[in-house]
Amino acid sequence: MSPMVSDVILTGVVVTSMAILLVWANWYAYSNPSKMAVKERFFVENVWFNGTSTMGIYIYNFGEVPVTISSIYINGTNLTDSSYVSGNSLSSNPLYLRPGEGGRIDISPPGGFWPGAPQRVRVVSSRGSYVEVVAVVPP
Amino acid sequence: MSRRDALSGPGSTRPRRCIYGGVSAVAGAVFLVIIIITLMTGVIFWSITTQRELNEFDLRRASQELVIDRVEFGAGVVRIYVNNTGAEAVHVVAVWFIDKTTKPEKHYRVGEDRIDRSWVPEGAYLWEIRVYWSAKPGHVYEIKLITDLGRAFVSIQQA
Repeated sequence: MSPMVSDVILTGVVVTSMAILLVWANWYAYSNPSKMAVKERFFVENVWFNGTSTMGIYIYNFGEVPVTISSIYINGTNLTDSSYVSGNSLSSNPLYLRPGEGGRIDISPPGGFWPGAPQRVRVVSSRGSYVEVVAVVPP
Repeated sequence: MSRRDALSGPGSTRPRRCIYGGVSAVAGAVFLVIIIITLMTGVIFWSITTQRELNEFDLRRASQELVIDRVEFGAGVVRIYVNNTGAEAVHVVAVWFIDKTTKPEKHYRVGEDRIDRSWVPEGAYLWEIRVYWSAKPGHVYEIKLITDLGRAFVSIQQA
């Protein structure tokens, strides 16, 4: 193979691979989904208790991007496996909220809640954003 | 003798390609510079734009202010009179009625589809929001107005 041909092939390979890299860099800089985390906005509208066995929370997405609620912590303990959306476990069925949508999660921890005890509820999205509220179990 | 002859003459062991080569290296370097510049400007531009948008959003949210003046409980409808003391119009997307009389408390959420006049204009005074929901006479309710920007305004009233 002549040096001229190999130069042309090498230049073609470099141009092609760099063009692909350029397209990726452009996409990364402007629309990488991981950057949506900073745009997430959601809050807990209400918290209620059914006796001392179940806590209900209602979450509203008031941001501009969809939010997926994937974990629930109460007083620092991960209770995702004991949280339910429409009867299905949150761990296998995360709560997906489009902008302007709300959704309910029921939490039934093993052993229930202590009457009168404050509960620090942390709601965590799949992108890592979270909100916290404190609710007191009725005496 | 020219430089080229000196480099690739009979006495030279250097391959001829070295004289002509380097086109792909130059192309690669140029593309690399373009990619680095694209990445840097993209990230900086995105950060500035996003930060400005989010600041404006948080400012709008913080400036929302509704005061529940009074509530009238009718047959199948609850009229909530509010004053908008904030800097911009407020959109009420849901109303919670928490029955404080029953033990345990009962919580009811009424969505926007059952709320009339849910947009409260800036500076509105005694603006009537109609919520199509039935309260139990004599019961005490905590009424919570939820806005589109994630604010809640609360008042406790007796039906």
